[in-house]
Amino acid sequence: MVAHRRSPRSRYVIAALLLLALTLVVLDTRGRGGGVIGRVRNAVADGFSPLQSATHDVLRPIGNFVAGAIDYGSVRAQNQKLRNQVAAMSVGSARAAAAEQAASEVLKEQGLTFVGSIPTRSVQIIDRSSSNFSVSLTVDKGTSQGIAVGEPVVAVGGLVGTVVSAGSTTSTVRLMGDPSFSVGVSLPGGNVGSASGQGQGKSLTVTVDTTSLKPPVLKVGEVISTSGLSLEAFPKGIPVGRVSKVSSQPGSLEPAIELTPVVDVAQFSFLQVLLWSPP
Amino acid sequence: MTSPIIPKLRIAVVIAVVVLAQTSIGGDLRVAGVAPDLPLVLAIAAGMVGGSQTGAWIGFWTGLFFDFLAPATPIGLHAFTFCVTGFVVGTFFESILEDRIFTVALVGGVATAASVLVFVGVGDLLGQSQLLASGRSWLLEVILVEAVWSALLAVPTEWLYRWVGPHGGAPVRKAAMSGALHSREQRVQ
Repeated sequence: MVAHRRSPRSRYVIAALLLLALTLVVLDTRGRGGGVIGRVRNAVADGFSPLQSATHDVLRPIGNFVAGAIDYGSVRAQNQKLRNQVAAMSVGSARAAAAEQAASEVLKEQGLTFVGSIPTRSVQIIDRSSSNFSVSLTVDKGTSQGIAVGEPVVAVGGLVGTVVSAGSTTSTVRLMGDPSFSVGVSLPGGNVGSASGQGQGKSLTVTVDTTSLKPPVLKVGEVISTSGLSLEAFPKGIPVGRVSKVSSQPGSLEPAIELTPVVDVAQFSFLQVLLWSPP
Repeated sequence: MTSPIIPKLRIAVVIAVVVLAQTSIGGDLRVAGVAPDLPLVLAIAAGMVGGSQTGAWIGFWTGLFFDFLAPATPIGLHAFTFCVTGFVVGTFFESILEDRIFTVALVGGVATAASVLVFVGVGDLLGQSQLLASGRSWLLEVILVEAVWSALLAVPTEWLYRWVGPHGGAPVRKAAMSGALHSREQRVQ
């Protein structure tokens, strides 16, 4: 075996790199994504967003092909074909603002009735949560198109998530499955609760907040919507999920409730941001 | 004499392409809900081909660029993890491991598993508790599936890095045995 000696200088350089990385982590964490580091990150993300979007368009067929191969023989393969069609239609329509507007109108007519009079902004997904430890995605519009942190994001059927950071031309959307996501929901019998994400591909769990009332009685398949109470981050009446499981909890009168999100984000290339903030 | 700028530019382009590919289609390639980590595989390949220093440098820059485009975790966490991973893999390839297909695939998988643990562990220590919020079973699932992904991708990525990198196809161990590694690294970096 040949021993390979590393020069002291190289050790110092690598130690300095590691120290620099840890310093950046600490500074970014303390700045909560804002501050100088947050601004630099947004600027870099904005600068690369056209390239990212172009890469997305070029590589998406490859990704779809590989994903289709992985899921061959399952129900998802059929869904994949639908995704390809939707993506092709969406990308084509995105090239013309008028066509995009028309598509947006169609979406509204087809399934965004819960939006009411709230203005919306159509956004294209350019990064579908490439991390395994966060359930988020990146879209192609930001503050220069009127999008702000905290605004709800929806698609045909119901709620998708919320904008957690916004650069000039890109925004990050935290999806409902993220463990740090929570939304107030209305439950039968005048009850309200909080639906929280449990991770990638997992159901949402609902905690009943109104313990002084009679516990809610729910049926599997029932659609649960946002409560829209004061200080809530979402307007009232947006469908959140369908009840997938109701069971009793030992030592508690309140049932354990699980929801399956009504929107499968994988089926969409375009989403709608509600230009709405809590009153 | 070839300018050392050209190999660096080639590597920079590869880093950009790999990170952009990860952020564009990485999420579409999920198996059991777990996406591959292409930038991490690049850092591992750099360590295998170029040795510990190259692995650390490539890992740092790849991770840092990925941090800027992956806003879910603070800037620097991927840079730290990939830097450590590239360095450790490079150290093993300099001194112990042979540059064979089976070894490359195996090390790709094992290094990825270790890297995920470092990423989550260091992140949790620095206040990123959301990394463990999905539970230990999810962490185990991520480690296993991502390791398999990396084992599959390590061989073609190592070949790619060897092709575009500054080492001209020479495995790092051979370079180390000939005593040329230091001077080569110094010329490149």
